[in-house]
Amino acid sequence: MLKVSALTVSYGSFQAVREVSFEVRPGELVVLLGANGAGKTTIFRAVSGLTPADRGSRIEWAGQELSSLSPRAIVDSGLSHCPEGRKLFPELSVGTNLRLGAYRCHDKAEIQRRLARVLELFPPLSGRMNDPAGALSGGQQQMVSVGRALMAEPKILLLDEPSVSLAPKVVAQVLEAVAAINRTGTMVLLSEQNAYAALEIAHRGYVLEGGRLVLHGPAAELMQHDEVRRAYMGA
Amino acid sequence: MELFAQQILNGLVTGSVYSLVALGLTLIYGTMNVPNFAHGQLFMFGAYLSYALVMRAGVHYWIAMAIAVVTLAIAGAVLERSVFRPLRHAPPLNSMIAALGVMLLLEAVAQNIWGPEFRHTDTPYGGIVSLFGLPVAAHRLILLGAAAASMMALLVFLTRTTAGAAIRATAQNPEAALLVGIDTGRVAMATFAISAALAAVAGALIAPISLVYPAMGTVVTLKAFVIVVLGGMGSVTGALIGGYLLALAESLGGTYVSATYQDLIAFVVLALVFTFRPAGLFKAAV
Ligand SMILES: Nc1ncnc2c1ncn2[C@@H]1O[C@H](COP(=O)(O)OP(=O)(O)OP(=O)(O)O)[C@@H](O)[C@H]1O
Ligand SMILES: [Mg+2]
Repeated sequence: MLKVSALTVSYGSFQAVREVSFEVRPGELVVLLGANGAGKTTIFRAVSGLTPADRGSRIEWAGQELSSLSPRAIVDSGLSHCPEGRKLFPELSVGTNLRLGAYRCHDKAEIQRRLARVLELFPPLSGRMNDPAGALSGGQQQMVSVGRALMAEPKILLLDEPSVSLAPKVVAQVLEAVAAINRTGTMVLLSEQNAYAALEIAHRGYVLEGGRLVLHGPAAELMQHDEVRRAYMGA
Repeated sequence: MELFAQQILNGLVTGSVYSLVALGLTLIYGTMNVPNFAHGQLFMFGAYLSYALVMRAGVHYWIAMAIAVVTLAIAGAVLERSVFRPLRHAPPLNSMIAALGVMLLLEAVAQNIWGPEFRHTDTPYGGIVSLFGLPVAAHRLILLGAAAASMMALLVFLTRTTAGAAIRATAQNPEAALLVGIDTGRVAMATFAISAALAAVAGALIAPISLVYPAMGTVVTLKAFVIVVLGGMGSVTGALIGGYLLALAESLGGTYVSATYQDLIAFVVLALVFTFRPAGLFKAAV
């Protein structure tokens, strides 16, 4: 279980995230909703060790306190972060991007097995393995980014707005893949602005506003919640 | 015709040195965004170590080169760890000033150990051979081959191995590299070591056919910077090809245009590139 308590993250004197607590339980797909600048990315970065959390914050995962670990040790603990904006290695081939996702695995046969699994999930990548990742369409680049994170074979996958700036049809494909990943037992923490589509595949959700959590509950409840409907679904 | 062929050969020999030095510079710039002004001094140390081992300790030429390469690789790693690592999160100007400091320091150290005199290294390939009827110092051919082999090895390493992919990944997106579990600090150290080793190869190769003296690195650093800008900051292909191109332009220009202004050619080329292709001839890609 991933258990975040009283997470505060500051950029200089500005507190981007304040006293946020949430958890992702085994088998769950949890969505973090929030408008631009609400603090979703900041939370993800703190969890995966890219941005230091303030004192007093606790990020417990697999019996370890993550806030004192390096990003590499966090990857080794079974947590994989697919960052906002894809962050591919644009000049490297799709195949190399994916294989680098399994950088911490040194068993060639195992890497091959994971690769086959990712290609099964994202069939369009099969024909593009030797192309530079930067040459792919937005949707396919997103597949590479998610695939690269999956290559670490994480127990929990953090996905930061995987559907941003994709065509509606591609959004559905990507989110369907996310749901499929979760069905195989991988825990997922997903951030989205696309509230309806995300809540449809999620078990539970949290709503973030100005760096604070304002609401949480089962996905079905949030979908009916007036405030969520008003803020995120234009209802 | 013979003059022309001779100048082409000169250009290729100088180009081998330029490319080897520029490759290291561009690798360091690409992965760490540090313009290592001290890079030519690593080249100079490579030349001096080869000189000292061959001429004073009687070590065989190739063994001397191997020792110089290993020593410089370690020195490069130490330099990254002790000087540039602590400045990683500081403004870029700090790294630049540090690099200038290292440059002056290394030159002073060399002057102290070996003095200001011009030195020269013997080579086991001191003879003259005939290349399609052209008399050529054998060592020049050895230099061409060894430089090409080193660059080949670098390219194979960068494009065919996981460690090479980790270096390129770190250059292209350092945060994503962290997220897949790459230790980017180790990558920085390895990149410095590899770059210093390449500079040492260049220094040891040129020592028998050129003069070895404390300031020999300064001009080479300047040229290497021109090449790195010319080839596109951070571009490996650009540095490789750019090194040979610049040296050929210099040797042909020096012969057919003006020998007095030979060293200016680099900067004329630079000015032209800045004017017409500010991003360099090749897109940055490690
Ligand atoms: N590196 C930074 N330095 C200073 N402030 C930052 C930095 N990164 C983010 N912020 C600020 O922190 C707040 C939260 O930003 P964050 O990127 O976490 O939001 P987000 O919910 O991910 O938004 P989006 O939906 O646009 O991705 C914003 O006010 C943002 O301006
Ligand atoms: Mg964000």
